[in-house]
Amino acid sequence: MHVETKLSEVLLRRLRVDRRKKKGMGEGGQMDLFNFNRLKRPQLIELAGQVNIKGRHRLRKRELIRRLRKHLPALKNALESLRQPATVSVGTSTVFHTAAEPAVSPEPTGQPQFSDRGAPIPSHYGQDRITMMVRDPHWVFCYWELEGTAREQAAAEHGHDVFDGARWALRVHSSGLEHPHDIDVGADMNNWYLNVDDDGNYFAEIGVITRTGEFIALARSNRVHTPRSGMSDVGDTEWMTVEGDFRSVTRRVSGHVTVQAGAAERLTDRFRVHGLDSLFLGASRRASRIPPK
Amino acid sequence: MEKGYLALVLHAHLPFIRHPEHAEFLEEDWLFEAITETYIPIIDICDALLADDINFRLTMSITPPLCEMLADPLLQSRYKNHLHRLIDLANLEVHRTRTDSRFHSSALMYAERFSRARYVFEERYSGNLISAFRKFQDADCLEICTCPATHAFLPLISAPQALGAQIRVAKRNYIKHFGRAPRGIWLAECAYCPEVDEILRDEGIRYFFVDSHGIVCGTPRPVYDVYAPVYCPSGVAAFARDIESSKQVWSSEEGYPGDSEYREFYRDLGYDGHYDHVRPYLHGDGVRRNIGIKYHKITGEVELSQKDAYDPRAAWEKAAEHAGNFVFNRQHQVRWLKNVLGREPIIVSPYDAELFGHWWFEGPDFLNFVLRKFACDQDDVRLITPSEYLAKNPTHQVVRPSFSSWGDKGYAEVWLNGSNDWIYRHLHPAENRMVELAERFPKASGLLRRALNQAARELMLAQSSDWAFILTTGTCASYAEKRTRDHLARFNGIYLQIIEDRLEEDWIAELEWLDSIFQEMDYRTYRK
Repeated sequence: MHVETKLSEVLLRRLRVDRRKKKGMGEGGQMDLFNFNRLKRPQLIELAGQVNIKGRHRLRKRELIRRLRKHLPALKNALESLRQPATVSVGTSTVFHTAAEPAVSPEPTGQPQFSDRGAPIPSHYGQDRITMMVRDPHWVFCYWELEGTAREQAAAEHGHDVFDGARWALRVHSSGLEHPHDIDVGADMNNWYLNVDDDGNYFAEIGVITRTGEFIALARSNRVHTPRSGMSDVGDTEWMTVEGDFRSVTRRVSGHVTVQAGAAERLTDRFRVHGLDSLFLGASRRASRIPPK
Repeated sequence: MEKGYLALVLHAHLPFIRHPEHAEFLEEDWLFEAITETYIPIIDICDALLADDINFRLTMSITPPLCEMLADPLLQSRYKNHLHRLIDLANLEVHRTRTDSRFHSSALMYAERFSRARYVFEERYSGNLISAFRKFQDADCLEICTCPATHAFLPLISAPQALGAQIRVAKRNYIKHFGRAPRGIWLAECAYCPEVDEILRDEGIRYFFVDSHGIVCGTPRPVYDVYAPVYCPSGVAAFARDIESSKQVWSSEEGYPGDSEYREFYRDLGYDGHYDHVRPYLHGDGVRRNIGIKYHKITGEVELSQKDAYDPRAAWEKAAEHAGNFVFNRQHQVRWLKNVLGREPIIVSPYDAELFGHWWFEGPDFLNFVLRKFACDQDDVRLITPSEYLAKNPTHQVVRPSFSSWGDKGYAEVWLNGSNDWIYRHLHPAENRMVELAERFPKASGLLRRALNQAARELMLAQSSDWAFILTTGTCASYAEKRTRDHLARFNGIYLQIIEDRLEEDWIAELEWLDSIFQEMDYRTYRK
């Protein structure tokens, strides 16, 4: 269901809500002591299913917690970190009461007492990896995880004090740049938005710059290409004939086509690529401009 | 002799929402509303056109999740009950408004519509609306495209096997529902990236759709702008959206749907009606929400409380007027383009199907008038389907389309921003894990096979682009978050059980019951 021009109004509203709820959504917090009491009964039932606690649908919350505690080791991966939201309020259109009590007032206001935000998922996957994702001609999103052995390996190779006084850095390589571009990222950061050129090739490394200025890469990303933001300069045409279901495919090069002079300009005059000023940098403090070619 | 072609494309999609664990579930309403307001009216229109022997061509994409829901007995039964309650309420409304001349004609209109919907649903098609669409396709009036299996935003998928799986599972599901292989595909959100068309070629899919800039910004420059399809180097054709015809319908400022005579979406009996009167027709929680009976028209730039009473007759006539205008504009456009381009253009006009009837109540009437006018009132424009067009015109320019989508801003921002970027650090590892599992167990059987198939289902459901979209728009963000987390948690739970060799049959069976999409799923589609 897609309503194009109403979207911008809704998106603006969403941004204001988002700024209030920003806390806790980006980095994935760690919890030292696991507290089952903060979960709702449906979530506890879900966890109980993973360790095959029989009759779990009939158990009360207290009993579920008691039994789950015995299975903590088996649940370790599922419970690495529980992302508890900063608030529990939801929009007026969704309510997930499973055993609905009639509201005391004759007309409920639509503000529910709790929300089911789904079962817990891991905060990491025990890997060292960094991934780049192209968002549009001028923005690339980058996220990483360093929960594998890369840090230990770096310490083993470069000395155990390699991280002392070192700065965490996202090193962005571009085919258009002679030297890579380094961005200081905090040790607790795990994602970043990069403002880049269109029609460019990029990859990145996440690592540390030591006291002595050496960059030690801990993971390297995939390579991405940003789309061109305008029309191609290439005018050569090539033509192909495809007969039913790819049975026959023949190409001939540079067929001549007579199109009325100025037609292309007239047609593309009506086409404008939107300016890409964005409200959605993902937290403007986590965005950086890569120098142009 | 026609001077050009028009492909009207309706994209029908809803995310797979089926909660057998609850007696009723709010978000299932989306399906029921779309059936009552969009799918049944479109089916009724097509049946009438056939009965009147009017030649028409329409293209629809009906996504796999929607096909699965329409074919599902539980949801069919819930819809039946929903419709019966709506009919009851409509009849009460007819009685309530009998002395109120402002609203009585609307009340009568709703009672008649809902009862007509019941007749079409229960008696003509026995609850199986897919059979209606299949019938129209078999009669060559309708061309049905498929769509990625769970409407995933393909450019944001990381593992190539996972991207391919979205296409392969979709194709298989399409064959199950429609008895033949799909000729075309509607990429979810028209999101294209260069890896996609090779996979389409491998599956024998001949064409897909992109937004205008997908072709206009392609390499090299397209000679015919968006008014002819182009071939990707793989030989798969790309058709691009025409902005002019889109704007007339889509735009809330300039487009037809904003006309003051049309029904106002945001004045609903569920909110306006006396609470005790509407309470039995709300959900169990008693919270006021949209019921689908609305008595006011847009009126103009006024406050909601100042909207005038809706006049069904005036709105219907306005739809006819707009249809005439749309047809006239397409004739004009086609004549101009033919002159400029030196060949017959094809204008591709895609819309969300749910625009017609749900968001724009009079949309189906408009569509009906448009199809009839094209057939009877003019000769310049011929309605066509993409396959028909390619059969008549097999030679086109080779252009590599640009990464693009029809989402706001034209690329991936709606699905990748501060409200939803966190999901990908979980989706991507899950994709890799699924490929890993498929590679590790080439010939699984019994419980292991069931678990692997269920893992694939959970991954696909988590990949639905709807969740990221909803997280951006915020309309029911907590539900979207819940679905993302639940499916990821279930997927990872199955993964761990498999690699730790402690599969729990009860739990797998429970997930098969909870997440029942794609009974025909074969996890081996994730093998390299």
